[in-house]
Amino acid sequence: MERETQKPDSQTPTLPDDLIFEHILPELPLKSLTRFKSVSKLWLSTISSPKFTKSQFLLFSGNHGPHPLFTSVTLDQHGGVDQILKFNYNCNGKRIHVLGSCNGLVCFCDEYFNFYICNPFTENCNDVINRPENAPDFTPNKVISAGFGYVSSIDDYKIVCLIGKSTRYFSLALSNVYIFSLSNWKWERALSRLNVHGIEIDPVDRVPVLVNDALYWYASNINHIVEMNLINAEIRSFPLTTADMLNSLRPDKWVRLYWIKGRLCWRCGREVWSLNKDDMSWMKMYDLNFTGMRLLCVSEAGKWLVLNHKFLALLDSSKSFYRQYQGGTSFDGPIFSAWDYKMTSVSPFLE
Amino acid sequence: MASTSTSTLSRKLILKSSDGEKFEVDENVAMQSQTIKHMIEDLDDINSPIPVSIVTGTILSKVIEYCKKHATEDSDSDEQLKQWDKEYANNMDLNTLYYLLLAANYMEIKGLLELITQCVADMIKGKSPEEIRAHFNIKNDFTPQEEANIRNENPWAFEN
Repeated sequence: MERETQKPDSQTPTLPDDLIFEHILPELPLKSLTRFKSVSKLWLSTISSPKFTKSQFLLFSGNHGPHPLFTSVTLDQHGGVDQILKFNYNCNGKRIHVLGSCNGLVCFCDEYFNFYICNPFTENCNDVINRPENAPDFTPNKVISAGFGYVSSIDDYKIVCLIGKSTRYFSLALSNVYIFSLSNWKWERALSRLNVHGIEIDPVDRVPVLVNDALYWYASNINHIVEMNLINAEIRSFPLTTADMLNSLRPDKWVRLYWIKGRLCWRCGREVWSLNKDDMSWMKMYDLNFTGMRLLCVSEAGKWLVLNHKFLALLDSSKSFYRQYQGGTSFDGPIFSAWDYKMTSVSPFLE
Repeated sequence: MASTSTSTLSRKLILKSSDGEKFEVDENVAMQSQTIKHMIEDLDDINSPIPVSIVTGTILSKVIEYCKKHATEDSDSDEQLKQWDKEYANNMDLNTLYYLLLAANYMEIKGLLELITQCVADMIKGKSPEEIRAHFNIKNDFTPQEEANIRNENPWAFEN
């Protein structure tokens, strides 16, 4: 009976599907898995299942020292899988600052607020987008914040710059807005549509968060959220809290905004709240216990990318951070900021 | 039967391959296989050969080689053991690798299974979908249009 199952070793055995799907495919990098979706219908449905979902992030290390400007890392639920690309761009020694990442494109600016849009994967970078001409108030010391966003309905990328004027508290109050459209390659002033005055944007949160065609900033002096609609360039503001939530705002902690599972959210200390756009009400999502870890960013699926000493890990907010944390991928080099990222071939040169 | 072995002297077990070859191994070597561990628990006579029914003698000897190396934990550092694993896997041809994979899966030897799956993954990760189909003997059940659509969704995955 034992001899019946014996095969000569010279013949390649057929591996059972479960061995391939349960053991071999989870070991493959994202690029191979994506390519292998076209092997067969069974492979497509298997690889498309949540079990194979991987999260990609772009880590920005700054242009000092031997480190690459950007590194893309891909993580599965268990921790590290692969670091896919390292991208360098010669900024001629200027300090750069990252505004955001959409559809695989990343936007950054130098200290003089000249802007660059590049695709780190294809290593394409467009020409420098210079500051608008004939804009006397657009000077580097007057820029409060700059953001980057994509509007799918018009297939256009926008750079938004908030300009401020000095106040007696040595901070900048919002006074003007400039918007650059990548498809028109043109800056536009949105001053006439501005209906919020005296707004001061928190310096810690200089980069806005993009949620469904709009950019959001936190204005600490009035405890409001400032919304810039990228489709019609309208600006409005609405309260961050209602009276019963004020205890959640700790005066010793910064408020930070996030995009989590399609919703605008804020975090102050451990508490994370999300906005219901239908009735503009806030709902508490959870408490994060991340003592000793640095929160870097949130994935599309709502998981937190954290740095614990030199180790990157992806943690699920619904479970205890500590119980989940087991090692992770080690990352050498500084991390100035991290972005949810998707590797694409989208070109920064739009027709 | 009561064990008379001390901590330094392990009991011997006999493993029998699908083609009838017999291997005498230390218990702690064989116990790395969860399948054999469970078989021993049900065994009346420890001296009777334990059948490893789907694994040939050639493959079983290689499995035992791996288990022996990993049974003596103290002798090598992690780094040395990793290096040994690497050389062990690199010396296998594709057929042997696949038979080892089937054996490790059947015998439930976690470390060996992980080693071989990683090795197979490294071998196939650079292949095209066509090569994967040929490699695993898979039929393409997409229409040309469906296949083109999947490719167009993620052209970057098909670039070198």
